Amino acid sequence: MTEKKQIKKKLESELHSIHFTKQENVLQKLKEQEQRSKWHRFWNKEISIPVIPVSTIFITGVAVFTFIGLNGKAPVDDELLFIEFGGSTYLQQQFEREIENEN
Amino acid sequence: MRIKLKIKHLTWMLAVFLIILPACMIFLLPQAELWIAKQKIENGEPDANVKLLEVLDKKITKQQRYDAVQTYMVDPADSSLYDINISPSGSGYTSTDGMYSKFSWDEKLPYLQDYIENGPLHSEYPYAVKNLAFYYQQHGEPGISEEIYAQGLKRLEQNGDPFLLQELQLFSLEASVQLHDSLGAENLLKELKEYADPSNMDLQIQIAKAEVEMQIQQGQIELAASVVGQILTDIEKSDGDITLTDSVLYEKLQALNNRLEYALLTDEPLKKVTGRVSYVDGTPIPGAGVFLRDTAFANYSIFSNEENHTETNENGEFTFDQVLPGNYEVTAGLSMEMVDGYMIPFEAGEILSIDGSKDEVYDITLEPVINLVQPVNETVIQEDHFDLEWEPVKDASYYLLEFTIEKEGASYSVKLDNRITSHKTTIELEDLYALSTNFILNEQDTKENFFEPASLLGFSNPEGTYSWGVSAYDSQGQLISSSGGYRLSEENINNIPMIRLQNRKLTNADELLLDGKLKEALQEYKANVKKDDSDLHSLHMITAMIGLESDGTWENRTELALPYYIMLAEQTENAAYVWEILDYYLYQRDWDNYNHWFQQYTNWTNNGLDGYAASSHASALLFQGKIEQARTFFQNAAADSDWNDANLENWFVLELLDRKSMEEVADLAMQYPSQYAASFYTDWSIILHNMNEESKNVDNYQEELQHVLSLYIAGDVPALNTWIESTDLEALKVFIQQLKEMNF
Repeated sequence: MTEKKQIKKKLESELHSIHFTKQENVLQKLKEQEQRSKWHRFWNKEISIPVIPVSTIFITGVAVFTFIGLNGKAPVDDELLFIEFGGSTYLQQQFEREIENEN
Repeated sequence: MRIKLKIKHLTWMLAVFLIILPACMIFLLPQAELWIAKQKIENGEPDANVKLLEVLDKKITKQQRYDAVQTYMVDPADSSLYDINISPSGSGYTSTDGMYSKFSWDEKLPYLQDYIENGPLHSEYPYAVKNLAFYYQQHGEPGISEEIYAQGLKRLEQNGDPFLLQELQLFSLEASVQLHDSLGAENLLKELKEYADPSNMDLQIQIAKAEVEMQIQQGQIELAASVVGQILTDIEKSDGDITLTDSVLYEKLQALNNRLEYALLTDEPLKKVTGRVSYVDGTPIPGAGVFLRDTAFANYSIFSNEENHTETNENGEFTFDQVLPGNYEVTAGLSMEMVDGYMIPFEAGEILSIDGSKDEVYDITLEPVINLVQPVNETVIQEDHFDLEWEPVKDASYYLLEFTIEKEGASYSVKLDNRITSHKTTIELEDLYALSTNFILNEQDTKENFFEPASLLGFSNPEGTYSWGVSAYDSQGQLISSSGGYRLSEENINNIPMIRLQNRKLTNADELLLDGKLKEALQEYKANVKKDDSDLHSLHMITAMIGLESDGTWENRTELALPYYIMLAEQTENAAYVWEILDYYLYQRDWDNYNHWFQQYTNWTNNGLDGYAASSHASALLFQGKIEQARTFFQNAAADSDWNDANLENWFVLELLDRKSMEEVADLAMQYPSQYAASFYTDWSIILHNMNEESKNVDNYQEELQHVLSLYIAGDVPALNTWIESTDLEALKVFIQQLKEMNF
């Protein structure tokens, strides 16, 4: 016992000038490990996606975008571009709109 | 159904998508935009051109860019350089692939330049070179124009199709001739002659024609005339061995031959034609195309290589330096933007006659269209008359109204000859019903695809759609403007002159007619007249339909219609019906009846005789031997503003009969060139000139002339035929043949 105490005393006196200052780091490391495993769990978490609703939304989105982009118009014939009426030349579409408005 | 996915996989997918997206934006988006721009062009949308230009500078493939340039910017025909070509004989749009408007020179220049330097050597290539070179030629840069040709020729020589090379060489030759670059032209000519396929007659003749044009430029008119004459004789004598795939080429040579013959009559035949294209307020229109076309081709659309084609400079001015004498029609090539809200006051059939004695000035002024006030926008007219009103035109001395039966495919227009001095008037529906729009000449007519029974009803169809318009004239009888023009943008549409005439109801006979039961309808109209000979509608309809019973000839139809025209004329005192009667008696040479009805015509007409009517009456007087009176009416016809509608050939006959020299009469003919009579056009001055030449070698020419003209005056067709067969006086024979063709 005395021997043990003596050794301890000696060790203490020898280590007297050494201080352990990395407690923070150790704690940090432990925390990191915990976070990593959290991230890992999240990263590998399985989610389940309902195919029908999601794909419906996706396809509708694309369709709307395309429709807006293209205005949904079919090409018209060259000759239908103009119309002659009462000696004047009009743009066919405008002329028809005007007649409809008057009615 | 559900799928299971780890978050990391989903994230990866998102990440990949986000990386691909910008790539899509850079490479795929332009593709989509190109597609959209093309769609817009095909839909005729006005903003499509701007869209396409935006896309052309983005990341699309070279092939796509050149493809778009080829399709939308290269113009194979001179006419397609402009959106609209307007001439006195009509107008034509040249929409390319549905395009609303062409690209302006400023817009397309860099692309054409790049296409010529690096583009594919497709069939459009020679045209691209020609287009760009034309631009520089017009903008006072003949050097650049030549360089462009040289560049194009070099590329085609190295890697091109020999056919395209020849085509471009020909274009280049024509351009050199126009630029008076005789050295360049001669070199090209030598090259072309050396390599041109001798069996390709079209090409051979085009080369010969270019050479002739070079000779003309150099003032060698006689040489040019003899070359052209020789080619024409060769073709005629070859009995079909020389065949041209382009039949217009032969006609072009004939027309050139005519003009050269004209040119030989004067010492310095090549004259300058200048003019200005502007709006009525004086604002110039730069970059407008101007074509000077032989009237022989007035009914043809503009060729791919017009001889006289230029563009206006920044002051709206244009110049044609060396123009051969002849009759020309001026055509203006304009863009949508230039013409929107305007019209060009060309008179129908207006010509520019160049006699080689002086330079000519010909201005083209765009006038704002006349806006109509009432009735418009589908007004239904149920009264027996209606009021019309339009915006007054400054300096207008009188107005003329025009009514049209609007039918898709075929519309019929009739101009009323009442001169209206205010900007308002009232029209009686009876007067519209009496207008003759269409009639059946014979049964065959009714079997044609385009035959439309409703058209026979004219303005008396309560189910029909009609329109009206107005034209303003100055005190000289010159057209100032009209309501008919280009109303392309919303602000220029104004009121649409659509009206419905619902003052009368359809009769049984009308219903039968509309059902296509023509013979039953005619019988019903006749029965109506039997019951009540003051049934004007039925009488009118009989005149329109009596051709069903004719033997197919014009005379027979007119003869059958005559009693009904007489009944109509007597009851309505409408001069238009009298005109039909006069036409018949003139043809029959029944002078008692003719003179009686002419008296009625002058009593009932509201206006003096127009050019056509005066010349027709003058011929009737001539045939009756009333020389002095006839001359007065011919002079009146010539003095009328629309003298070009008149038939003046009998005036020349009259003066010859009165022993005026052939030279004098030829001068008269030159002063009043004949219009396109039916489908052909006769150059009386050249015929008379040839007769004058012929007479120098024949002793009894004057007696022979007097003899055959007296046969003509007497209307002795068999004797004329015998004379034509037996005579060897070629020029006189042509004269008599033409007269016969036009009058009997």
